[in-house]
Amino acid sequence: VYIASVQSERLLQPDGSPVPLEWFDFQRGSRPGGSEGLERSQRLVFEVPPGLGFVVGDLIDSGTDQKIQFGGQIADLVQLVVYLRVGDRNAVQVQPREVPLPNVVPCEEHPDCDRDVLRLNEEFEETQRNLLANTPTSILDRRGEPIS
Amino acid sequence: VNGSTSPVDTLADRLQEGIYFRSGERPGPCYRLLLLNVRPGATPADAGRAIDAVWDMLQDLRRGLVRDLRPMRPSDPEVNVPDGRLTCLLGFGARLFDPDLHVPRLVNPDVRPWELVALRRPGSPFPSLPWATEGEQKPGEADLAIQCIAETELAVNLAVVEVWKLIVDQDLPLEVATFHDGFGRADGRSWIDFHDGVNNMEAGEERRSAIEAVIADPPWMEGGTYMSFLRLAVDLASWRRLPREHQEILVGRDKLTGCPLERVDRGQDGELVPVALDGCPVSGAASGSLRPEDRDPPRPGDPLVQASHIHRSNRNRGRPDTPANNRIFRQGYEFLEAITEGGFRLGLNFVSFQRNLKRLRDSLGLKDWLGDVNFGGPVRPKPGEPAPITLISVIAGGFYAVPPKGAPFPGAKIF
Repeated sequence: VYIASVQSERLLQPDGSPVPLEWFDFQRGSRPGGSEGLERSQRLVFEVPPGLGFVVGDLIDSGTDQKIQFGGQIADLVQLVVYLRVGDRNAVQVQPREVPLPNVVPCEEHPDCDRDVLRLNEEFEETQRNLLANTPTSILDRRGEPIS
Repeated sequence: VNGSTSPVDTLADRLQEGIYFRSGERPGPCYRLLLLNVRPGATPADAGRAIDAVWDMLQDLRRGLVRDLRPMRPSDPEVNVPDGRLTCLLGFGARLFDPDLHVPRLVNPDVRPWELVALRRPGSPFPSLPWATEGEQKPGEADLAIQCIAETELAVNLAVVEVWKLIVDQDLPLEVATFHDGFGRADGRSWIDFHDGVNNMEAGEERRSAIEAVIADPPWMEGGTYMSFLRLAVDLASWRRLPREHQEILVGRDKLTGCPLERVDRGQDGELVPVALDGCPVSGAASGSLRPEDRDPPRPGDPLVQASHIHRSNRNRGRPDTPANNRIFRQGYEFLEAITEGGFRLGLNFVSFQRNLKRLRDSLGLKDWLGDVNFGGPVRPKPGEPAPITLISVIAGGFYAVPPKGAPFPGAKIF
């Protein structure tokens, strides 16, 4: 799981202009480059450059008109990406391919959402077991049993 | 037959009229969006009474009753004007909740839906969607928005004028900010000649699940929806300079048949050859008569087609009730207007209804959606591929909270 992008333009400086993307420092990983061109950062550091006379708490999220008070308001602006590699690195020369997102249970609307999510998770785990059907028995599952 | 109502219909009935999402409904071709502001100094009670009076009058108008044509003398006949199947919808803008603009305050700022904010700010309203030039811009935000849709120009124009008359006659604390007009095309195409709104979800429950606010946050909006209005100027001159192949790649459909593209091949001389989905068009079918898979095509494997407008605006191709799919219900109207410098301007009143505004913001703001291009196409085109084009710009726009049906008028409880 990596950080794909951040909606920097939603944050407004005291003069109303949007925050430049450069104020975000993508760390722990690599920026797009090479043949894959994938974003592979795992940490995002955000600060107002020193000397501008204001701080992060003076910024406004233009999507809600709220001043920034909590880190979670910044985290709301971050998009994540999941990369899945299904073989050894360089075993097959292919370009990354986008796969459709599954439908996600809108938990906010369903009181029994927890149960649904658990069921979906179990179904997902089952599909992963099938994928690993031919792997050596030295691989153990969460209970310590060899995966067959 | 026995008068019972299904649970789905009961829920759907909470949405105001004027959102034509139900099976068998088609919006009338005539559109007006009337924007009103509450006069400075008005109290919440004044504002509530004024909105009540306007709403009441509009209900009469829907029955063909006009105030100036009421019988006054014993011998006067009852006069009805053609109602044109008029529908009216009431929305509240962010301005209404702003205590700096209304002294005394009109409503408690705490009941403002947290996403209902002003669109007008420095810079572009969305990352790749700029404002039109200063001289072209018009007001799009106001305290109140009244959407009028009808089968006839008379009905929607009458609604605008009758509201003005009522304000004058009763000295209501309201001011007409402006109105915007539009018309619907019976052929389902837009000014750029392509079919528009082809994949607007199935009528009924699927659409409702994208439209209706189901969370009571704030409580008065549960069962309502959020309207976005963007009056978009289209640079038709630039569009018409593009070869048909480039236009089709930017849109993601065949220009004449409406068939979705599956891939783009290269011809013998390296030219781009858009290839439509297999089996489309259906032999003998009329233009625009598409199969469900042509209306809502699967996500293509070709990156160039993935970058087209129809796949950027509906990127995941998933269920409307999944938040990440950002599905919205569109109900747009074209416009054509003269400009003072001579000539004319044309474009689209982009009108959408969605259960929350984040969906629209994300559609127009996120990278790989429409956040990194103005309309469609690749951000970094390879040789021969269509270059980025600024096709559309915003003349006017605003967000409005559209409360559920209620008496004496929708949303009355916040005053």
